[in-house]
Formats: sequence, C-alpha cells, structure tokens
Amino acid sequence: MRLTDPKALDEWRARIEAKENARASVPRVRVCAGTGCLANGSARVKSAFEAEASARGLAVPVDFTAESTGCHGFCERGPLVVIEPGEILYEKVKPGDVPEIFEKTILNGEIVSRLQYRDPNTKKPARTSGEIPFYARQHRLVLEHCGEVNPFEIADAVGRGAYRGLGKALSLEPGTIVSMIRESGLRGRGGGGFPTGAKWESAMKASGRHRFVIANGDEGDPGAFMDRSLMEGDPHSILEGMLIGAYAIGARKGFIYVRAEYPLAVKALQEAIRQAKERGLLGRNILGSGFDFDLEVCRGGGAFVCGESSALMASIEGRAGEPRVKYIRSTERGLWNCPTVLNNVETWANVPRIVLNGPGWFRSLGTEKSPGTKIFSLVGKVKNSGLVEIPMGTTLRTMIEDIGGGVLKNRVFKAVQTGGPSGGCLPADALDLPVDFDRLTDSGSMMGSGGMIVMDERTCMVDLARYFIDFLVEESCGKCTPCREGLKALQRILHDLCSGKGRPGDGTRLREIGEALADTALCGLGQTAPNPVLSVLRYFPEEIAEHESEGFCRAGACRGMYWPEIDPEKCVGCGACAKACGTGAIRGSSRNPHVVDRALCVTCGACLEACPFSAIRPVRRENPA
Amino acid sequence: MEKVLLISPEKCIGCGSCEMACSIGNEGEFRPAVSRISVHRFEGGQNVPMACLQCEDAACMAACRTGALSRNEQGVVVVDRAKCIGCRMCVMACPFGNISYSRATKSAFKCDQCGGDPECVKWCPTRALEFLPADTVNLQRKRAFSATMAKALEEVKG
Amino acid sequence: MIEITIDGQTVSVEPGTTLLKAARAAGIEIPTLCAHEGLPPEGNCRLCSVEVTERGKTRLAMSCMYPANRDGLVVRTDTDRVRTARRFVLQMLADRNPKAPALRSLCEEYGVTPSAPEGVEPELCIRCGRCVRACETNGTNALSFAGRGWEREVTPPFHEASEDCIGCLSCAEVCPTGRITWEEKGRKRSIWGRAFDMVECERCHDRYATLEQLRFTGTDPETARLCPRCRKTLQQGRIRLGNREL
Repeated sequence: MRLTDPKALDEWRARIEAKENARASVPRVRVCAGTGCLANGSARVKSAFEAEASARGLAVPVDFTAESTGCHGFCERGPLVVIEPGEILYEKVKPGDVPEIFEKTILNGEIVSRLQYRDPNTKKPARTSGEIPFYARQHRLVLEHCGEVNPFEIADAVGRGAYRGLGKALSLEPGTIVSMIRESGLRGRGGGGFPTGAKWESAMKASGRHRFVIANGDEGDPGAFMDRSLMEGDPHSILEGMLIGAYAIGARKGFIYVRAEYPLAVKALQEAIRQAKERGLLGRNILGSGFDFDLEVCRGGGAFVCGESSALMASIEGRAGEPRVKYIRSTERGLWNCPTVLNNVETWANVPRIVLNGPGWFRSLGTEKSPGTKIFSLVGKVKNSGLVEIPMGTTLRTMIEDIGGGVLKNRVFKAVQTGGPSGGCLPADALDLPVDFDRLTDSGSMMGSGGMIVMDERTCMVDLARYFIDFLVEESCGKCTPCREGLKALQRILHDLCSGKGRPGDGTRLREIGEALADTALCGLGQTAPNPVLSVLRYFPEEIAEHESEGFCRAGACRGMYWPEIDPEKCVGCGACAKACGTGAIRGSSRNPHVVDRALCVTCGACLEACPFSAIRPVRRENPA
Repeated sequence: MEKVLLISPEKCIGCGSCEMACSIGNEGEFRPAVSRISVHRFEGGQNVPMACLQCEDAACMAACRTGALSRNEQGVVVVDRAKCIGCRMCVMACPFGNISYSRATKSAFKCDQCGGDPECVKWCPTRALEFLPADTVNLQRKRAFSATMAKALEEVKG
Repeated sequence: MIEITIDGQTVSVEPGTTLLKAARAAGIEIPTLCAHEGLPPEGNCRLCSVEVTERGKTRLAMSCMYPANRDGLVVRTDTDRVRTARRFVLQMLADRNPKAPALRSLCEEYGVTPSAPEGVEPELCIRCGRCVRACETNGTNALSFAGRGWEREVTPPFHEASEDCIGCLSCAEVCPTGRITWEEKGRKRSIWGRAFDMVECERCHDRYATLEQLRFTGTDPETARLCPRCRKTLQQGRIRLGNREL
C-alpha cells in the first residue's frame, strides 16, 4: 500500500496503534537480536520460545509472538528478554530457561527471580529495565525505539512514530527546516562536532546541479558499536533524518556508507529502504509532496580511513578510499564535486525529533554549546558494558560509576579512553568532567564517535598508547609522509619502551613527533593519530619516565619490566595465583602466604590478574633487562 | 604585429652559424646537437635549414597531456619545461622531427623563436633566415614554403 | 585579480592561484617534492607547508594546493612553525631514504641529519606518487599505489608486468629520487618487469621508440618508419626537391 499524502500516513499509524493497544494485555516476548545478544545465542532463545509456544498450543488460546528487536544496549548481560505485559526484563537467558519463563511469567505472571538483574552492591533484583541504574540514568532519545521495534518491520516503526517528523517537514519551507536545525545547536555526532545547521545551510546555498546527502556508518573505532546498534535497531530513524535533510537542502539522492563488517546493519538498512519505497516514503513524489528522493546503501571495504569524509566520498565514487587534500568544503564541492552534506548516522537520527519537537525542546537537553544527547559504547574494565545514551554534560563519573556500575572486580579506576584511536586517555582527576564536545577536546581527548573504554590499574598506559598506534599504523593509508612515516617512528619508540629497550629522551621524541604529526598530516586520521600518545604524556608522564629510564612497568603489563611480588600481609594462601601460573613459579602451602620464584617467572601477568585480593603487585627489577 | 620566421634554402650557404647561435643562446654551449634549428648539407652545395614550422594544427600539442605545450600570443608553440613529464609523445607525433627531448634537462625542446628575437636570424650572414612582420606578402611566402613541403609529402606518400 | 600578502610582500594574483605559484612568482622559494607543474597537485609529501591567516585564523596549509581566493590573505613561509613542520617531514623521509639525492640538499638547508632506524632498509622511494600521476595523466594507467601505510609502494597492478605500460619512461623522468630505473639492451627496453621491442629507424637504424609508444601516440605508420632526426632530414630533402622546382 502506497501512502499518497501525509494524511494517509497518519491514518495508517492510527490503525497500527489501535491494533497495538488491543494487544496490550496479550503476552509477548521481545528477544534482543542485537549483535551482542546474537553472539550470546539469542537466536536459539527465540526459537525455544516459539517451539515452547507451539508445543503448548498457545497460539490458539493466547496470542503469543516472540519478536526479534534491535539492540537493548545492555550487551554485557545478554541475551536479554523482555516479557509483556509488565515489561519484565530477564538477563542471560538460555534456551533451557524458556519452559520455566513460560510456566511462571507468561502464564501466571510470576517472576523468575534467578534471571533478574541484581544490583552488584545491594543485591536487590530489578523487575523492569527502568529499575536498573544502567537504564535509569540514561536518557534514551535516539535509542528510544532500539530494542522495542522489529527493525525489519516498517509498521512497527511507524506505530511508534517513525516518519511523523517527515510529515511535518514536508509542510514546511526547506529554509525553515535548516533554521530549525541551526537553532537547535545540533552538532555532528561523528566526532568533529561541527554545527549541523551550518553544514546544511552552506550546502543549500552552494551552486550545483545535483546535491547529495550521505550518512556515515563506517564506524571503525575498536570497541565502538553505537552506530552499528542504531543501524541494526532503528534504521528508519536514519532514513527519516536523511529524507528531511535532503528535502531541506534540495538533494534527490543519498547514500548510506556502512562498513562491510556490519552485515546485519546492511541488511536492516536495505530492508528498511525497500519497505519505505513500497510505502511511498522513498522514491518519486513522496507523500504526494512532489519531492523525489532515493537512497542507496554503499558497503565500505573495511578501511578505517574511509570514515574520513573525503576518503568516504572517494570510495562512493568508486575510487581508492584515500583522503584528498581539501581547502574547499564538501558542502560546496563534495561527492562528484557537487554540494554534499555528510553526517553521521546518529546525527541524522536526531533530525526527525528536532523537527517534530522544535529546537527549543532539543536545547533543553544537554549543555548550552552541546545540546542533546550522545550515545556511547561503554566497554573495558567496567561492570555494565553496553550502549549508553546520556544528555551532554553528564560527568564521566556518572557514566562509569552509576551507569557502568564501577570498575570490574572493584579494582582501582585508572583512566578512560574516549574517542577511539583518535581520542585520548583521561585520568581519575578528570572523572568530574562534564562530557561535551569542547570539554573533551580541551582536556586533550575528543568525543570521537563515542567509544569509551574504561581501564583499571592493570592497564599500562604506555602499552595502551602502543596498542592504538599499532592500530593506526595498520589503518593509515600511507598517502602523506607524516602519517605514514611518523606513526611508524612513534610505533618504534613505543615498542622499545614496552620491551625494556627505552632510552632517555624517548618521551621527548614522542612529543616532538606527535606534535609535528598532528600539525602536518593530510587528513583527520593523521591529525588526531598522536592523541593517544600525547594524552598519555600529558596525564601519565611518570609511567613514560619509568619505562624510559628505569625499565619498569608499574601496571605489570609489559613483560620483563617488573617482578610480581606477593604481599604476605594480604595473601590468604588461596592458591589462585599458583593455579594461574603457567611455569610453576609460585609456591606456597594452603592458607599460607605464597612466594614467587623469579628464576621461573616469565612475567606473563596471569597471577596479577588471578589474585582476588590484590595481594600481588608489580615491583621494580634490580637489573632491568 | 606578429612575425614569421621565413626560410629561404636557396640562400643558405651551410655555414652553421644558426646552429651555433641557437645552441649557445638556448643551452649556453656551442653544440649543434641541441640546436633547435639544423642545416642539412646535401651534395652539390645545396643546404636546407629547418626549424619548427609552428603548424596551425600542431601534432605535438595534440599529443601533450600535461599542458606543457601551448601556443603563445605570437602564435608560437612553446614548451613549459616545468610541466613536461618526459613521455616523449610530442616527439613521436611530429611528422617533421622538429621537436626533441633532452634527458639532461628532462624536457622536450623546440624552436620558440627565442621569445620574439631569434638568435639564428641575427647571425645568418645571407638572410636565408628572416624574421619578418606577418603581413600579407610574408604570410604568402610562408604558405608557399609550406605548400611545397605538403606537396612533397604527398608525392612521397602517393 | 586579488591582493594577498606573502612574507610581507603584497602580491597580486588571479583568484584560485595556488599559494605555491603565487610565492614563486614573487621570487619566494618554497621547497617541494611531490609537486610537479605538469601533474595535478596532491599535497601528499607535506613539505611545502606555509602559515596562512584568513579571517583571523592561522593554520598550516599546503601551498601546492591552497587557493588564494580572498583579498587580504596573509601567508608566511618562514616561521618557526613552518620550519619545524618542514624539518619533521624531511627527517621522516630522510630516515627511510638516507641516500636520496633530492633530499640531501634540503636536509642540509634545514639542518636535518638522516638517522636510519635499526632494521629499516634504506630505500629510494619517497612515495610522492609523481610516477603514478604521470602515468594517469598520460592515460596509460599502468602504475598505482598498492598496500597501506608503511607498506605503501608503487607497482604495476598485482605486481605483474602491465599490459597498459607503453614503456614511455615518464615515470622515471618525473621521479625525484631516481628510484625508477630502466634498461635498454639490444632491441629491448625493460621497465617495471616488462620488456619492449624497440622500433628501428629504417634509415639510421636508431632504436628510437617502443612499438606501444608509437601506437599509443597514434603516429602515422608512414611517419613512424623514421626516427625524428631522419624525419627532419627527409623533409629537408623534400624542400631541396621543392627548391629545384621553384
């Protein structure tokens, strides 16, 4: 059924809503089908529910459906299952749990308490997601429907309000929409934080026969999965944002650039485009407005640098995905030299909400210079890892301690890496920093696309810098001298530092190369590449100095640069370290303090990781390697 | 007014002054091999000087991909050495052998009429080489010369 | 025309002129490696940096690509920031290519001492891509970059002798370091792993071009029988005949 005008869309939505309301009291199971939960076996859980239902013949007396939804965000605890009515949340559900859930919850409304989330500190169970701090402290605006709607069913999305923003936008002048976005203060969610309204305005005013809109879904940071979850969980919000943007700047064609490693996202977007076309929400004469717009999914080859705008456009054009030197903005000369607006998928998903609720509403969220919310993927040594959406200005402490539940194994927090390989590490002192574009940049890190990796005392900051530089050396396209040669030079020094071959002056050399690299590199990748190194130099200079001149790694992460030493006061003789030790270097009798035989120790660090009492600590070597 | 380089082979005595003047003027050394003009001395005392004819439909220019060859305001085809990438396509294309390539300077080179004051003309003792205003009379002379060549070319081909 | 300032000098240029061109026209030298006037600029060597102040903002820009588009643009080519940037680029290039002649004088000028890191084989390729762009510009497209980052290298596609190569030697001619070598032996010219048969001049037997070169240029087969020098002589002979008639 093709929708020929906005009224038809409203009527369709009303019909879906009525149907939904009628089913409100009917039991329903929502099984998370996000990548994290799928990896933990959620597909088998869903089949178990379906099998159980048909075995019990429930399809006849009770209208039961097991639906796949997009990511709920609480990936640490997957597979996640929500039972309606009552929105009861179960975590880590296995197919074997399904008969019990059926018996108790679906048929009798009872809770299976062993599947509930328990607060790690109070041990209090949570009945619904709203009771879990992980969800309660978030503000889910863009992720609103992720985990609720079936991403492969447009009716599901429309029933929850998708394309209402488009309906309103088509009744407005394009210029009005651009003004709305400008007034809202929306900034690019891909990391740069450039004002979206200014971008649109520039593209609208630029001359050109064709104009394009592009969504950047080439998320490549290690540990980041915000864009992925959004594309997989609520593709229609991205389509709708792009439709509005295209209408506003006068584009008739758009591209969504998704990395090929995200097959589910590609599938969800392609299906969403197909269904939107079928309904007349894409294609010619959209909702009878005379506006034509078509969308295409482009699959990237998996190069990190293709997330950079000029490389991304080169890739869409069919050329090698390498950045180009640009002194003219892509809003004036972008894709095929035509005015182009390139925004991150999360930025696009914000657009329909701004158009619908107005710029004033958007500005009421977040901070003055960074309004709205931001999605982060909170990972690393944190108890509740997953997808987190918070209003801008929320402190790192709230994110890590309240939402994240604190550091794993109650170890000491050491640093948080934001912004992926282009970002930096912030120390414990910075925990009260409100997270927004400018504050993060001032502190030497950056928003980036929203990766957030929490690290504890077992993380060596020099080794961490080495890790990110290794990543960037792999991902640098090699086109410009500073990035190609400079990153390799940084890598050499960092590898030496982490293997006990540091030399006095290495820290200074790292700084000189890093600063020059940032100043001279061709594209954003290279210009921000030294950030991990520079931020470690800024916040953890003592660790660099210890690696450089003492051959000592205080985190016990760099092999051969410390000895593990067992504190007899703290050791209870549990034997966990001895069990973990692969070389038999730890000896001791039960319930008595153990000792390390340095002649056998290969400093693999397994004992440090294994000790539940933090009784083992790395100490300096007398004669470092 | 534009000027044209006119060659009168019948007046040439084969002294080679033009080659010397050209090479010293353009390359700073007396070396006919790098001269843009060259004289062929046939038996029987017939000598023919030859330099670029600045063809209207220049094959060398058509072959050049980098814009290193262009026609200046005087109608002369000139080489921008900085733009030459050494592909030698112009050399292949010229049917008269009037453009060459120098490995030493990494550039094609040809007669550019010394920017409007040809050395060869200055030193030619017999006025076999003349640089005259492109008025009707002189243009006709040049055309006659070219026609002779074209005719000769046809005969050989035919 | 617009007016910009380069190192205190007011320079009047056509809008869109690159800063490099504008500076050179004003007699101000800026070092370059990847730039070649006959090829589209790419700005990859990062040596030609200058400081540009536009609308109150100062930044480092590559003069080979930055267009002078606005009156009042202020360019400085010799500040500390510029010198530091150029020194860094030269150091990085020279460390890997300590023997490249094109780098030697620049290194001297900027006080850079090449120090090849342990385990790094000295090379001659600075990845400026002039060869690749020359081949593209010619329309032969037989050369490209392969590999990423540090592994980036110039090669015919798939490291095999390319059928598109015509043996014209442009790549070698534009190479600033002499990395690209070729050989002529007997009737063969070899470059990039491919051997070409040379065409012999019917008159003087000079092996003056490859068959592919003549084909690619579309040289008339009649013309191609002779080398350029003999073509000239032939013409001179025709003129002599013509003279007799005159």
